[in-house]
Amino acid sequence: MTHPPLPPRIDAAVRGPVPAQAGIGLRFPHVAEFLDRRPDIAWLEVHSENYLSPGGPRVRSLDAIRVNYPISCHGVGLSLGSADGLDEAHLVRLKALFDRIEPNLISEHVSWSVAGGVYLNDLLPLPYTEEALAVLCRNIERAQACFGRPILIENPSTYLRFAQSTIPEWEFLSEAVRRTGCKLLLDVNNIHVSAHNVGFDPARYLAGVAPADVGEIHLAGHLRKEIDGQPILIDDHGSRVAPPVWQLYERALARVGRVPTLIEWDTDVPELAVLLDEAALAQARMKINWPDAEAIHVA
Amino acid sequence: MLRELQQAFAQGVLAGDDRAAVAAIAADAGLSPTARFDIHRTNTIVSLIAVLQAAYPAICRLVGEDKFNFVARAYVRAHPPKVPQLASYGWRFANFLATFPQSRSIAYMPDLARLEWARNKALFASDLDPIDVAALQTVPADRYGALAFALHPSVSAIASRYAIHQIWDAYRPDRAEPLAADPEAAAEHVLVLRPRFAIESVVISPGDFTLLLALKAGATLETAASAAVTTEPSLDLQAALLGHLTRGTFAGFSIAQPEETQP
Repeated sequence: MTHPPLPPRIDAAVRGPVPAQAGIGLRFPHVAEFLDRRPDIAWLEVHSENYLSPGGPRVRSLDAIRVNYPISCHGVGLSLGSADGLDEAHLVRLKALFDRIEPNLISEHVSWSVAGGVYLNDLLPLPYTEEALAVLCRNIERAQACFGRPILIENPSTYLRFAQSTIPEWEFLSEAVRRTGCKLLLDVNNIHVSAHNVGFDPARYLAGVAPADVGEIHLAGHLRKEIDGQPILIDDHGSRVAPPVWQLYERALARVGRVPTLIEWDTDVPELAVLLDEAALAQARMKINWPDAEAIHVA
Repeated sequence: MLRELQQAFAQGVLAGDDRAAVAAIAADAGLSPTARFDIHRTNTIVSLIAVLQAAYPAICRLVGEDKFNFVARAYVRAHPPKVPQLASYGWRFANFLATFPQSRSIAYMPDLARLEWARNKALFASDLDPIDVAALQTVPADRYGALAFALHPSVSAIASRYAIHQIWDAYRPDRAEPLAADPEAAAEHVLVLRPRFAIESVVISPGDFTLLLALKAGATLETAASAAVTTEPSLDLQAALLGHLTRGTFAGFSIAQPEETQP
């Protein structure tokens, strides 16, 4: 923040719903460019837990950037799947962030990270059972009551399946949407990764999701790795979106319609131009289906 | 039950006994349940080691990444985060280094960790405008002794028997090549603060350190100055105070009311 800030963009849409266009995740190496040059991108996503401190350059930068871009706050620590329930102190911290940033959208994961008061900094999978569904829904309802608005919940990338699971993942998620009034953040890369790792048909997954439930799509790169001679896909967000994921994205767009789409990149973050280029590729795929469409806003 | 399953996973990730967790995983084609569980264990441990590397970059550079990761892995398992807010993760690392068998022989390491943690804390502290000399212009000279200063929220002061600031400066991450540094060269007192955007750390004198400690505890300038001069008789008090006002150590001041005199 060594340069004087550009004059703020006077645009009511900055604080409306997230536009049905391509956005990117705001990453620390790119913050200065957003402050100095205001790159052309429809919206930005931040990880909520990175902005909970009382002060410092990080939160001050977001205060400045939010004036010019719609912001989605994507949580990585609420642990919606915790049997212990949500951490009330963490809810309060998040609420304070949302009151200040006024995000255009709030999302979290269908996973858990906290057990017995310990935070594992990983998005761990749930068994797909009636019990876990009840826990998830209770926690989503608590979060939505605290935030005073519906949230979006993201399908996880999975590396394992629990023996006790009885419900297909897409049904589990759809039922959570039906019971709580939340929406889905459909991570198309996660569908591809999980389908490979635990063995299901991505087409069946897409067919099992109601188009009206989907409020956002995530895209990211993954890593193909061999463990004990067995190929496994790791959701590392460290490369460009893979060709089969683009194909699945096209099928997802055809099914659910035009929704805000986000490019995520978390490891080996490249220069901003690469993320903007990936976003342009997503935008181009929206244009194929809706050549003249204005941005369709979703709640 | 979900609670038991999640506790079994947490135990498997941190304590190493993964039998209950692995037993819950379906035996699908491809990877074994053990290998599938290991992916999650690695996610947790490696990501938290990376958080510690970012909070303690000079120590990591000084001891080398392999040794750092060895200690960090033990720390993660002994003190996993309690809150999903990684900017505050790692505050116990200095004490851990003081007792961990492979690091406790390096006596200056805990103090170096305290210095790096002070920088980390300063980065995320509340933003307040510091006061400068001009702010004190309204204070009558005969009331200086009654001044009390509020330290800026980003301020920490560390006393060490070793030259920890020299070591930190030699191994700071923004240096292309580390410098030579002798931990025994001097005992150093270090002030860390972030008055605006940039974190600063400077060596201060022992008397200045006492002064800050007393002011932090709420002492008036008169009391704090007296303690400071006891620590360091040659302390130039005016220069020390001017230094703090220039640097932005104080976020505010008040003047203690004089005691009422009997009529």
